[in-house]
Amino acid sequence: MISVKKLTKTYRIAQPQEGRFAALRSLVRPQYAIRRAVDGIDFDIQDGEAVGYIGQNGAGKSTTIKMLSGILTPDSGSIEVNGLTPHIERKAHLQNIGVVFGQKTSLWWDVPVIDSLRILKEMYRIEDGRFKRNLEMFCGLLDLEPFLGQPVRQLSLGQRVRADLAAALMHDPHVLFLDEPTIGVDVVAKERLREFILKINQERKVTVLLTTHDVVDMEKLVDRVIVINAGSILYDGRLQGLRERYGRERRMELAFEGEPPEISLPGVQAKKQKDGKVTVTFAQGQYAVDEILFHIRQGGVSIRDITIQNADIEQIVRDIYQEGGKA
Amino acid sequence: MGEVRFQVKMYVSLLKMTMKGILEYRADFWMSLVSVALLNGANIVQISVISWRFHALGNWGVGDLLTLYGMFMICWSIFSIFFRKLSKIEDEIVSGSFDIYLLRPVSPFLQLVGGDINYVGVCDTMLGAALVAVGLYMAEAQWGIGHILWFAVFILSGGTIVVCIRFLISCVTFWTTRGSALSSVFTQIYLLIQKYPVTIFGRAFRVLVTGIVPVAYLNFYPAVYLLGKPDAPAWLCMLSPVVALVLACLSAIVWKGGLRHYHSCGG
Repeated sequence: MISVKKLTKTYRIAQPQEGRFAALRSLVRPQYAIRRAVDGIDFDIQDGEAVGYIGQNGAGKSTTIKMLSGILTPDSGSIEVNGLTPHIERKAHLQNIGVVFGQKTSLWWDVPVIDSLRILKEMYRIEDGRFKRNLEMFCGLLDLEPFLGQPVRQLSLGQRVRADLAAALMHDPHVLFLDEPTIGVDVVAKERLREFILKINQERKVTVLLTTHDVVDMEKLVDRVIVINAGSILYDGRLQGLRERYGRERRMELAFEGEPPEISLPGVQAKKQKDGKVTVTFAQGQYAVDEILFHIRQGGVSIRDITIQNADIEQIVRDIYQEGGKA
Repeated sequence: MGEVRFQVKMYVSLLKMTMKGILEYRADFWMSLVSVALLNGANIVQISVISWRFHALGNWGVGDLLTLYGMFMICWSIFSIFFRKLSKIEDEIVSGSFDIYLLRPVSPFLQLVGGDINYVGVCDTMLGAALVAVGLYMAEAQWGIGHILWFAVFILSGGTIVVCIRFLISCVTFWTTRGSALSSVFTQIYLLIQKYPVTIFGRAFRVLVTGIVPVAYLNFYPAVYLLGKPDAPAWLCMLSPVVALVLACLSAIVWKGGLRHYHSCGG
């Protein structure tokens, strides 16, 4: 169980100074810019949950993950992960968690993957039997075998993330923090990573907290999302609820045989595109798609093609990001 | 106790990984070995040149000066072989490697230090040892068992001191973005201390290199004691391990504070 209360982290960013003796002055009297990366957030995550942590770059996602994993010390507020305070009881805490950063590897760059796994075995004091069992299991699920003997620097990104995932789970942690695990990975490899994460969450009951920009990740992996913007939580709840709350607008694109008609229904906006197509926007729940189509066809025009844009999460997330959560 | 053993074992394992990483670049490794051999050849030439070029300075004869220089090299090589990464904390933070150290249940200090081994630095150790041997011979120093023990103490303390100073300078990175200014001041000081006995400088400099940035304990005080020079009282020389201990404690405190203050590389 993860419990976060009034968590705050401020960065003091040392400002480079100019002029004579700049280096010396920046040592003696440094000047700082203050940035609140995380600004009093609260949330609880139950054992076995899979939670998506989403927000724009710089919203405070990574800072939160780093505080949860004990890398950073919070300014104020409290964190408890399985009853431990990460930055204080660091070593005990680390035995309980696994962390994967999609952007950087935690493996040894120049040595074969298997050597990294072996030194982790020593570091986490994993018994031989458990190590062997986990290695076999991860080899099977993540298909590590073909590149186990290769140095990490020679792996493709997808392989590297798979190796990193295995490394993060060798010591059977209860909690897995994933910071953009699928970033830059190709579609097929992504799918495989998702399957694996899902399996770990559902079968091994590992609590997963995952940051991602990938909407498919969210839809497939998590049922709860926490949306953070400028250090504060905007939304915490079901993914479906996010759709209902923010996805009020629906959009469809129509192509007509001949001249596009005027559409005059209250609450429906129609915009002609350059290519002759018409984008129709309406509020969710006000009309059914069928009603609008019926209205148009009454005018005697025939519709050649329809694309209905779902109120998909991607759109919603984009809206939230753009508006900074004013919705 | 078990914890200490575990950490030492992990340090050895980490060094092995680092060596393995170096050996992965086989060609590179062999090239380095060849260059080590070449360097050693050059070193022998260097010793003769140094002893030929050095002139007596006041009451310091050529043999005395060679000992001074040799002691410095040995102490410095301890830093450069095993602890070079300590002066690169900033790079580790910027590259994000430091985050990774904090994610593993092993002392981040050992992970930092265990990530590098500069085997070429052994050259400096050997050259330093040769210089000390030649210097002592030329200075016709009388050595007893006590001197040998003190020699060992001086080397260990001197090594600790140089490591701690470089480390403390590097730790400045935790608080500010620029540590380079301090680092270059330090370089200026040690370049002076390397070849010349501290007594030829003014009193202020002597205080600086004894009490503030105690680099005089790398070579000057050990040489004074081992050669029986009148430049400093024996007790001041024998403070060497105490100075090392104080610096080590200070380093430990600063490290703890630095970790608490650590703010990663954003993101």
